[in-house]
Amino acid sequence: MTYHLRKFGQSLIALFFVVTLSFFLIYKAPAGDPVKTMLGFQVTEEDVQRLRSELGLDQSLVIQYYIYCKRLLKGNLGRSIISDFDIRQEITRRFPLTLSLAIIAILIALFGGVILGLLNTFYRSIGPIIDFIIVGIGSIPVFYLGLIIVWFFGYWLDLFPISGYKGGMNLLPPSLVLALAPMANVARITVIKLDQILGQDFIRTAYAMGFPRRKVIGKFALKNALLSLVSSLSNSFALLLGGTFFVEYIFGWPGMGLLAVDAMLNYDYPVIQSIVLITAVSFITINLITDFVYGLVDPRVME
Amino acid sequence: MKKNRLKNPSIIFLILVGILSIAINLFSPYDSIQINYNASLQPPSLKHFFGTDSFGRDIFTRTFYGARISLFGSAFSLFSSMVIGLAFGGMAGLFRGKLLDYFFSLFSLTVWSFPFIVAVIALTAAFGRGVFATFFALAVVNAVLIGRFVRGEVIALRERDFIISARAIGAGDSHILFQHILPNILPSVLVTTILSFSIFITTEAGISFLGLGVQPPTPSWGFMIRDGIHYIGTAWWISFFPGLLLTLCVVSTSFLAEKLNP
Amino acid sequence: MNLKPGIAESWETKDNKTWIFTIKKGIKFHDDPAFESGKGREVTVNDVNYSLRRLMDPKGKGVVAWILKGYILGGEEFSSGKAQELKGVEILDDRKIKFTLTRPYSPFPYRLTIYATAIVPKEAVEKYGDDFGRHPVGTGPFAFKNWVADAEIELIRNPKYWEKGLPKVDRLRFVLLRDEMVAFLNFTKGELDLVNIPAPAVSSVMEEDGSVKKEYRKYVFTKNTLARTEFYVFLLISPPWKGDRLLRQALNYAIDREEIIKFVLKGRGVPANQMVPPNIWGFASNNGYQYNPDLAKELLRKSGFFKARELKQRRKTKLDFMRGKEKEKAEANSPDDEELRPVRLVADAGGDTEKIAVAVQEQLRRLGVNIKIDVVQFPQLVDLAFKGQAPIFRLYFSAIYPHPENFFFQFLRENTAPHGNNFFRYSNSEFEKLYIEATSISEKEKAESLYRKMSELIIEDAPALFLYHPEQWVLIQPYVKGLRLNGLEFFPFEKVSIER
Repeated sequence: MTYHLRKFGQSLIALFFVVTLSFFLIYKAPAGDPVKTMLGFQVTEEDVQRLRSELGLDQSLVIQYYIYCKRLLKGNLGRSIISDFDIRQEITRRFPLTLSLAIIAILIALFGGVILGLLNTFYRSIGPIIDFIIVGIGSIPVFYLGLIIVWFFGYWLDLFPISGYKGGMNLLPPSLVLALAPMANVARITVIKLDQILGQDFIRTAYAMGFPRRKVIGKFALKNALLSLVSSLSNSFALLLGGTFFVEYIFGWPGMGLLAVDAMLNYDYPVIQSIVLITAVSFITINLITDFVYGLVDPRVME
Repeated sequence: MKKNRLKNPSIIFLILVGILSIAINLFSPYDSIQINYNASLQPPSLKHFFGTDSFGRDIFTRTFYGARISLFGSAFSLFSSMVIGLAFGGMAGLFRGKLLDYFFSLFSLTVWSFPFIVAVIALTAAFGRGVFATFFALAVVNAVLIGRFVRGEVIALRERDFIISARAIGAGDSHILFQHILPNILPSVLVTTILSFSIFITTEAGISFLGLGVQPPTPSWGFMIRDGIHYIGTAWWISFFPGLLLTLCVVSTSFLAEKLNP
Repeated sequence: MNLKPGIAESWETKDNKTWIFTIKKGIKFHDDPAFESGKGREVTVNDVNYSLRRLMDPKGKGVVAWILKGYILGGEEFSSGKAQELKGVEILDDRKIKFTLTRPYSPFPYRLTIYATAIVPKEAVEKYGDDFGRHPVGTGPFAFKNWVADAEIELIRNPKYWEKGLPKVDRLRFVLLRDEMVAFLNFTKGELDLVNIPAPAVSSVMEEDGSVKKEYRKYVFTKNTLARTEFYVFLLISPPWKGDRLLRQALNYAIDREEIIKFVLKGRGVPANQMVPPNIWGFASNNGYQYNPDLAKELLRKSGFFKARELKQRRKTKLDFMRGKEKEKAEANSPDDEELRPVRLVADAGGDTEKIAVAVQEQLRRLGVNIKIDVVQFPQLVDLAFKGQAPIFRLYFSAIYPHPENFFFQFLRENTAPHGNNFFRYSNSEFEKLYIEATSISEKEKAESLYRKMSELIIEDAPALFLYHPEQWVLIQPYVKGLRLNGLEFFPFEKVSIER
């Protein structure tokens, strides 16, 4: 119990610092005056002053921080200063889009990786080849891979519409691109773990007792490898989050990643703050869940 | 053992790329930024190994010129981050100064809460765009991560017998740091660093790809990929070759890291 | 291009200072839940009053107040919150509204064609508040249906539109795609009806001689020259342009616009030799910059920049031969090496603009002037323009209405950034005089000659590096009939019909 509490406490502290850091980081940015950017052409100093006080940008840093925290607790994330939309609404709308990409990607990574790992273990002859493919594909930078897939499948073979967000088929290419690097990781871990486990005594005992091969692998081996797989997937989540930036950019997928890229390129402070917050929260949450699952699966960890 | 390592294809490849990038002017008659409209958008040929872009610039030359930034810039930034990370991590772990350690942990925990590339992009944007900002951001984030790692290792080490006995004899802090702790953690730090190399070059490429890094007309792999993004269906070679080289470098370092850490 | 009465039926003025507008009867707003019965009600003079006041409302963000506040009597005071009433707007009866301006200004009706002056219903603005922009309600041929950010915008036919028989199509769908090549491909697959041909696709669509390739002949191909000028702003208060007209002229002669248009834009443009585009009256046709490298070199040599650079170069060489204390002293005495450093050009990210910067950099290098490129995002470019933080940067001006005055108010002293869009920080009393005179008279011929004089002034003073006027190359599906494009980038979709 203390293990979980401790982890939770640490997460809260991390969260607090993330909020603070993101707030101050934005104000140190040499990017430009958000107020001027909002107002566009033909305005006077008076207009600028008025808007600035309206947004509360003319008060001391500490007061602004206080207002910011208060707003956050109410659930108000502010409005974009470039395009003037309500940030929370926009994030709510886009989150499921990115989430669906991520979920499909993780599923592909999991199944694809395990299958590849199994293939490698049991068909030793082509093992090294698969190994090479796995490492090779996992190393290709996400944005480059995305471009290759767009070119190859979209232009050359004309298999799928290259952008847009409606319908199932559209989900596949970007998810696939996202999934490939994590899939390589999963495959590699599967191979390592399977080798480890299959060499152990209790497996030989199972065989001796007459269990069929498939059952041995399925029941004993994979289950034990599960822990490492979970941990690997959780690490891959970080890769995934970073990857969504590029994948959404290339495929024009209107999710959180695209929102983030635009906000960062345009120095859209309120949006950057919100994205930073959401990213950190998801990250911390996933870590928390992983630690929790870890604790469940292997109580020894909790010491 | 050493003999085998040198023959390793990964090392050979990386050295080859390094040499070509430094000495590209010897190998290629073209300038990396010279515009020649008449030769624009030529596919790969004997005259232009990797083809030309819309300004008629030779992609082969640009790719290896760009390797200077992508490879050497990353290497330098990586090296600095390693040194800084070692220093801070070592100090935080060794000196029991509560305050320093506490702040360091909190700071690193915060950075740890983000995916690497998100943190780097955010910092690059905050420092103002450009090559220096990108490498600076990379160095900062990685230094924090390495520092965290080193700190953990150092803390684990300092309770070990040989350290305690060294202290008992009266050895000073810096002596312990350099003679005992460093040699023990250096191997694992080195492996992490090699792995980080591929992450660095990929991240720098990603940042240049988004437009936050290198400025035109200077070539860098990520920037060249971005240049050719609209020509994917037609003049595919503009993005393809820089990306290919990037991928091969990453693959080489991955294989290298695997060899060193089975 | 002429002005067509929209909600206004007619307008009259005797002195260009007092204007009386009469609005039509029977124009209805779009149906929307903001109205009591959900049905759009009739537009009244009160709506006109409300909408125009809203533009200048001090409680609003003030982004578009500039359109009217300097022109309507009492506008400045009203928009800054100092006055409660707007003296220059007066309702006369249930169809007539009177505007009193601060001075005679003949292009006033043109100002009222700017999209921000559209007449909107109070109910909807109050109901949707800050999100009205995401859910607009008006009186046009198409009503707003849906906007999915980064994906698409959908409009549907307004059956109550005041032009009988229009619009002819039921629905308009604008698909928002980031990549122009992807858009082009969607068009060829039949998923889009109208598309701009992007630079990378030009060679696929067109032959070398400019004719359309066989596979694309089934589509309708149109070229549309925009009333828009692309240029680089010279920040006139900054070195090296400050006070150095010869340098600015030299640069204008040094640019081979045809080369840029041919190789970077793939032909989709017309060289700009002055600020006003050729399709707007007031264009000084006997004047403007042509590519002339010899003249450019000659002017450059006579320019202050060149002389200063020569001096610096000689001084630097001398310094290289000095040593120790003597060198230190000499270095302390010589001013900043500004002339020896490359000039920083800022352009915004995106295919054509980045490439044009590279092309210009190369062309100026041939002249012996070194430029360093700095690419930023468009919002940063705007911010930088306001603050005057770069010596030269990319910008453009697209005609908001078909009147040359449009292109000239960015040179007025009163509009000097950050108070307006005079990013050049241009200041010329003769220009100001001509402007006031030209905008106060109604006779087109007399005004035209005045505008032409203003064009010539601008050409001579060269506050900008004029580049080109873009040309849209558009492909339209064969079943789309009746689409006539214009230089103002307004698409008259209400006249379009589909015939399959």
